[in-house]
Amino acid sequence: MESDILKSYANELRKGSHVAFNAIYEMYGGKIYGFVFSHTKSSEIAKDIVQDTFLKLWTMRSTITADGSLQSLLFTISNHKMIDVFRSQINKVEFEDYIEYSENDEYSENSVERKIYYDEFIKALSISKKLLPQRQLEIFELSREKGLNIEEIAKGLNISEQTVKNQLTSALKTIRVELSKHNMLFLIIFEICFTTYKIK
Amino acid sequence: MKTFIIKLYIKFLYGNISRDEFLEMRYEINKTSDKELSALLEEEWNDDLNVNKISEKDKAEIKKNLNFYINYDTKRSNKKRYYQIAAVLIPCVVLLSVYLYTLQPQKENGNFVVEVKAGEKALVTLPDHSRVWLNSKTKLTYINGLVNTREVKLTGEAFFKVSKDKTHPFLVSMNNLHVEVLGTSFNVKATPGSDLIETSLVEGKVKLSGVNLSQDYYLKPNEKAIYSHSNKNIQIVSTDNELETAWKDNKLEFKSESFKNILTRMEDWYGVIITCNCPKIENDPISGTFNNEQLTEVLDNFKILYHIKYEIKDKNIIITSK
Repeated sequence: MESDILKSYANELRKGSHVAFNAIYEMYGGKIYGFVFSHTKSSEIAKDIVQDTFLKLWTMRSTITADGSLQSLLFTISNHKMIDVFRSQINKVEFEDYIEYSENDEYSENSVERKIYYDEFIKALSISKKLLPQRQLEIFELSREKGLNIEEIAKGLNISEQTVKNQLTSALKTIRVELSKHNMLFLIIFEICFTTYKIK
Repeated sequence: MKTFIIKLYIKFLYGNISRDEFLEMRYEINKTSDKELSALLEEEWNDDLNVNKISEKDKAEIKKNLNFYINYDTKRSNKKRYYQIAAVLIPCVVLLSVYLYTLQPQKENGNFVVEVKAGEKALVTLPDHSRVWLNSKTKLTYINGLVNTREVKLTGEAFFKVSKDKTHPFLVSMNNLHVEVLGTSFNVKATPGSDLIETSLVEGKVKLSGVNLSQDYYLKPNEKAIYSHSNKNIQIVSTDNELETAWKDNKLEFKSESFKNILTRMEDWYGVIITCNCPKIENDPISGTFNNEQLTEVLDNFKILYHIKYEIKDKNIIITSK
């Protein structure tokens, strides 16, 4: 499958050639990035893994065999890390929020706004949260991060369900306004997300 | 793996999965073993999904980081095919954490070599867990593959904290002089070109021997052995260990040393070349301690004390009397 050029790059890399290393990076750096990105939706994680993988490739250069494929070698090097980040990412509560957001994002395909990915989503969310009063933040986190429903929150904090609803509504209002500064889409989307799933 | 899960996984990769589908996919993936998941990923890997392109900026940034590392890594490797090395060298004065690691274990009996340039210092951990602080312009070679002893070769100055292992003596060899220890800490200064090799003991016990010596010498803590190549003998004097080992804590310390000597030490310490047009004060004895200070701070001190002027051009410093 791999061309002779790749084989000669692999050969040169084994001898410690920087040129070959850079050429291999040009060929596969973007592929690894795209692969990790599509599994994590996070540019930061994807960049980390690209860098890690190529550093490992460099340190193990002397063990590269001429007949092995570089593509499989790069997969072998990054495989464990990829599985780790994939598993950990999809199990984050915020990630679920992000998917929710993304799903609704599709309704506005005509929009000129570009797609927001996980990193930006988290950033915008954390900035917004700083603006909330203590009580509202507490209720918001119980709802979003601990995944409790209104009844559970009311019991836990020993307040009425109506108070929880009111507090959550005003928390979401603040967050909506703040997120809208990052992207107008949020204004619509968050309304849909939160009203649909959390405040019934 | 069930085909509908694979379909959901593909939808997820392309970013058009619904929340409910996502929850279903997550549930299934959490039940899947690493091995099975790895097979799924590999199939996708070979399929070239070609989404989510890396930005030119990110691509260039990673490339820069990688090249910084590999250039650095290559520079450290010894030309003479000594295999592996390593020590993260520290810019200028900052002596921080450094470690020795093995890049590729070689079957041949290659030696580990660490070389520290002027203006740099390093702390390395040897395969036997002994720690060695290396002063500027120092080269340490760890002889690999010895069974009964641990042995290093040294030129320059190093402070050793040898890990205890009574069955495997630790041997430091310099030209014609050997220091043998069982687990202790001591400082050795074997500057190339100098007639003297100085060994100062902080704690424990060391034995000194050499082909030109008629007997072995033992050092006690706070003693210093000065070996002279030309006289082929050893003199043992009491010493101040704080002064001897100050360099490893980043203290540039001198006690009644001539200004000329101090400038030479500063050249190694900071990796610069100092020219002094100040014959009057060249031999003045100076005492002082500079604790992790920048070159300009040290020079400023001298400027005030000795009424000198200095000029810095790259790595060249010219000092003149006012």
